[in-house]
Amino acid sequence: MKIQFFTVLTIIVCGSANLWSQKCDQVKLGCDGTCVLQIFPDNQNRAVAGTLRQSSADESLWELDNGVICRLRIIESADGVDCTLTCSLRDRQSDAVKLLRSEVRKTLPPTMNTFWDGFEVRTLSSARPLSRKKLMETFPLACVYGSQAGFALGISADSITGSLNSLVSTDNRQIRLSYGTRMVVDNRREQKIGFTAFAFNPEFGWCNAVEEYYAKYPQYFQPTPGVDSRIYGVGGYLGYAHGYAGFELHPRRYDRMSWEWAYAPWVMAGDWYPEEQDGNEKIYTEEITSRGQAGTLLKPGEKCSWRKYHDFSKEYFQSSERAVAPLYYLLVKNINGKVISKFPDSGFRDAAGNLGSNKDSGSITADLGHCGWAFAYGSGLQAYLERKIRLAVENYQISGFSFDMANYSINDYGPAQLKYATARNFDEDGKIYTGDFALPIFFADYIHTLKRDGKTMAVYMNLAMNGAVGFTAFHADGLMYEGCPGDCTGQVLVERLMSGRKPMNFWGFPDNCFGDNFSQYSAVNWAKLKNHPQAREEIRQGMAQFLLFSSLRYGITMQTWSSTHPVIHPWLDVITALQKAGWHPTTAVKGAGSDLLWIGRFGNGPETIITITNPERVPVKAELTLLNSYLGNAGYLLVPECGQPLKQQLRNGKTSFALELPPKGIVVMRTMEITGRLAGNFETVQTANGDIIIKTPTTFPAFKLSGRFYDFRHRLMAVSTAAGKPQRVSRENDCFTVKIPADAAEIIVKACPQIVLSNPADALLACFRYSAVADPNTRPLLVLPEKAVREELIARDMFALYYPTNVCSLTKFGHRNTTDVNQFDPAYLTKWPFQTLTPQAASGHRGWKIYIGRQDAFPQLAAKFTTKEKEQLEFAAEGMVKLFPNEKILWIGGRDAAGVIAAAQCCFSILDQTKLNVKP
Amino acid sequence: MLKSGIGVFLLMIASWLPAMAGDPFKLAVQREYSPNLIKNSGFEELDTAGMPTEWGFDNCSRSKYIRPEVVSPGAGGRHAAKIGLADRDNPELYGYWVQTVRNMQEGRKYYLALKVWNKNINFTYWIQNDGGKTPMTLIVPFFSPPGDIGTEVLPKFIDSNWVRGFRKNAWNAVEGEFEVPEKSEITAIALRLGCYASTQGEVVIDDVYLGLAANRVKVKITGSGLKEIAVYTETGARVLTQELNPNVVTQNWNFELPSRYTGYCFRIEDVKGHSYQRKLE
Repeated sequence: MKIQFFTVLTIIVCGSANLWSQKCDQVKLGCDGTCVLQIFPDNQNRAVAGTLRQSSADESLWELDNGVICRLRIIESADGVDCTLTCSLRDRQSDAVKLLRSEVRKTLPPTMNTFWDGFEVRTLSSARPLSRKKLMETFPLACVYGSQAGFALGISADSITGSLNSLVSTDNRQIRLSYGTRMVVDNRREQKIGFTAFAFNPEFGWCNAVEEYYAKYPQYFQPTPGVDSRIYGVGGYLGYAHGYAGFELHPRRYDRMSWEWAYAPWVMAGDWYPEEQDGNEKIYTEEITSRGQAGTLLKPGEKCSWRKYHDFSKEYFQSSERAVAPLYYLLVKNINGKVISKFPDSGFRDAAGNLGSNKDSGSITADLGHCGWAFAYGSGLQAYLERKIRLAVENYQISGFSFDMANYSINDYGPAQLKYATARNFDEDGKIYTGDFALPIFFADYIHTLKRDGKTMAVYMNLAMNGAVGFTAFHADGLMYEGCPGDCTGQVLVERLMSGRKPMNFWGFPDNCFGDNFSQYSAVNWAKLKNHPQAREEIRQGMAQFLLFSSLRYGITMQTWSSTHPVIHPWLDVITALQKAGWHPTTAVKGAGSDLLWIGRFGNGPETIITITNPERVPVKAELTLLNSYLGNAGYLLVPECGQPLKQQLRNGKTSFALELPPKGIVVMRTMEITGRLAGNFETVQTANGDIIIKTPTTFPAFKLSGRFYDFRHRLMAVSTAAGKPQRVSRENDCFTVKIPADAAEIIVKACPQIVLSNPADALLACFRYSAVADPNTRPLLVLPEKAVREELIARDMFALYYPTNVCSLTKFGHRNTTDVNQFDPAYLTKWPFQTLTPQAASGHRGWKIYIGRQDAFPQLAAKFTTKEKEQLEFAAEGMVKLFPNEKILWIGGRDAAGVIAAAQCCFSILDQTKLNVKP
Repeated sequence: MLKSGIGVFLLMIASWLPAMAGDPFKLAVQREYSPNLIKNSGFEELDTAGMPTEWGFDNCSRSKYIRPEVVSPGAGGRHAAKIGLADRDNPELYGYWVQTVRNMQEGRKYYLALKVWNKNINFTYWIQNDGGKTPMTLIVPFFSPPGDIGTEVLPKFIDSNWVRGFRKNAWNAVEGEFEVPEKSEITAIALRLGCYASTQGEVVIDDVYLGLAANRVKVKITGSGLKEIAVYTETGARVLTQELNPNVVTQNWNFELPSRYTGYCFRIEDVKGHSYQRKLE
């Protein structure tokens, strides 16, 4: 049957197949009929009508009267519906361009009167509708909710679109929530957009909706699988420190930098991997000179060949990679005019068609005055730049790329964006453009197809402190916040929401070191503080504390500019662990006093970490409840890291506990998963050596505890009752499951240190004391396995560089642990030279020998482990430092290669505490 | 609305600080400010099109979605000047209200103050020389939402006296000082008040003041046994000192201060060696 005349006829698309054609101007999504999709011509409120040609369980074909064909893929679930809309022109030869707006609308009961628009919360009144028509700083999801129920509507995370428009209106009977976006439909590319609509329980308001959204699209809220895990740590610059031959190893150990924003390592914007035929000697010379390395790498007046430049770059990344994960800097929209001229279609154009220039911009000196904006995708520049990126990966020891200015700053009306036809938008005059926020997405997707040494190349993006677009963030592996939380404070949550569980980094100083221009972004009046040193110091302390509290709340690491601050440095392990565990928008903690505290939740199940801080200037008493269902399907106890016992009651899926936090107090807690009988009173305490004691007057049959990141320094080793009866432990994925006998009222979880020391620290490292190393007659020999692996070589170099670095720092700066590598004096590198031999070659040496290597690299020594040491290494410890006094051997060993580094780091931490008898 | 001409401020110490009731003196302070060089500073006078006289509007981004208008009420008077940005995402949207200010003097420092109410977008002011041989540009971006919650959170961590920023749903005071360079031959500037690089939202501006930063202060101090009165900056630098006659009950002191932006305070010493510090408002 075909209906010829209609006004508003709706077709419900759900389970049953429709075999006839129907005229309609909206399509109902799902069976309950309250959610509809409509397509509008821009600036018109009357929807385009069309004919529904096919409709099956999950796909429909809707032919609009304006010549657009819409294919709908619909997945309905108990909570809502997801719809993917694909639009194209019926006439495949047509030059027509349709400027449309697609919109999904949901009718809801009037009790849901709180509106979150992806940025802020507002209360609905019947007087006027509320809307947000902004792409920037907006999470692509909106919701309405009351006390008991909520409903969310938004764009799917796998979409890329250039506009967002949420709208809610109400009368006494119902609420209408709609979400829309503009589309440009032509024959250049099919246009695809996904909508998601779902009900949620607003226990934590809109945060529950975001949590659901993360669960729907998990891959967009965590790093790409296989990328270098070092992107989770502290970020910073190395500044071409390889001219200083490895001095970076110890400063990076101290400031904990684990990835590098490897700034502009090329000779021209766009020529991101200089090839032999590119450029000329002058350019290469200028680049090396501008990087401050001419003194060590070029003689005065020397011209630098491509080969010398190339070797310089290769050596740089080889050196950098030993200390950190180098992320190769790109500014993907800023390209030198010489490159753009080869691909003229790529140049950005304004609405009038004028070629956009960006002459004042340039990441390196050679580019200043010569750069322009370029849209590579849709022009020949795409292949050119992708090839350069691929060559950089093939030739340089890098872990990925860092994208500067990945926020939204300019619109391009040029031919390339028109042709590439992704995320296009149109202005009031109907002119089509694409925002530059889309470019980093295309480049990131390409980079994620590249690998080096088995690692997927990562992309860390700078979203700045304004102009952040969610879709850009969804394609990054990590996000830089280019400031401290005191700068544009509200934007921190905006960008954390967009980055989800990915690493984030505060790229700023707690102090105003950027100068007065930058300080305008700060809520601190730095200008007035300029001549007030005492107050300024107090402000610095307060701002560092604010940075720490924000980091603990949102799981955000920082730049090396901040990481060495005494307020922050002790917490770096914890903050990195929070990032790795992954942030949750819902805290899962409620109760009296919770509104005064800052609460962060990270990770899931037995690997959950809860942070609670008191930002107030007065103590806060809180009666709190952890809602277990947010963590997993079991019961959960909390184990505070602070050494104070925590009494808690587990009942009906809730863990209740009381806290009293002093002003600026911090508590970090891990969870234990209880299975079986899920009720009772418990007390947990963590002792100074890391053991956990659990007391309970009732019994519980079993619990599961994470061995990984246990208290950030120890790992779970064994479990016993208070009477000392060992309990059977089963291990799976770094979690330990323990079955408890019915009569056990107290359980002790024994901790094992990350690195086992065979002797007291003093005795252990005697052969490596400065006095021994400074004398060639007593200097120990370093021994490596015959086929030493990367980590063993790095550990060896760290031993060789320990005194050159520390003595140089102490002599030049009056203190150890200077982190500015470029200030080191290379002359120290030749002092105290160590000889490195294999075990066989070293066998005749009568002095002390320091063996550096994995457990299985030195089987004769491993055979001398005690039973306890064997057990510790098998089940818990990552490495050991073991003394064999009779053989005059000190072994810095690891269960595996990473354990060797960890053991070496442990040694250096011990050595850092000893007095260095060198006069500065 | 700030009145043009001379602003007068009277301060009786005993009246604002009860704890000072036992002070051996009373201090009355009168500050005289330079006339306001801004015409129609409160946007009260409108032309036949309903736009403020003396002011122009430059829609720099040439977008029809950026709209100037006069709204009511203002911060103090009936009107204020608004810039509204409509529903298109375009980070390049910018525009400003502009007035050319004449009779500027080389080598002099000027003080600028105004009130701003903004929603979603940033307020910024520009000062650009109009003529003269030395270019002078001062661009001061002030962030608004989402940066504004810093004003709520930061006082938990630092002394709130050092926190600045924009409060939501409120008029916010903006102030600053700049100097016209010596030998620049600049006699006029364009004062631009607007927004930059933003999207849907609005900025409302009112009560603009621009005048010489230097201001005259008249002090009347009443008390006996007083030895010296001095003016210090907030940072503790001594600016001016006046000896007092311990035997005279009422004494006057007139002087000029170089800045309105800098905070000052008085320190008064008596013959017994007691020292008293009072903020100069």
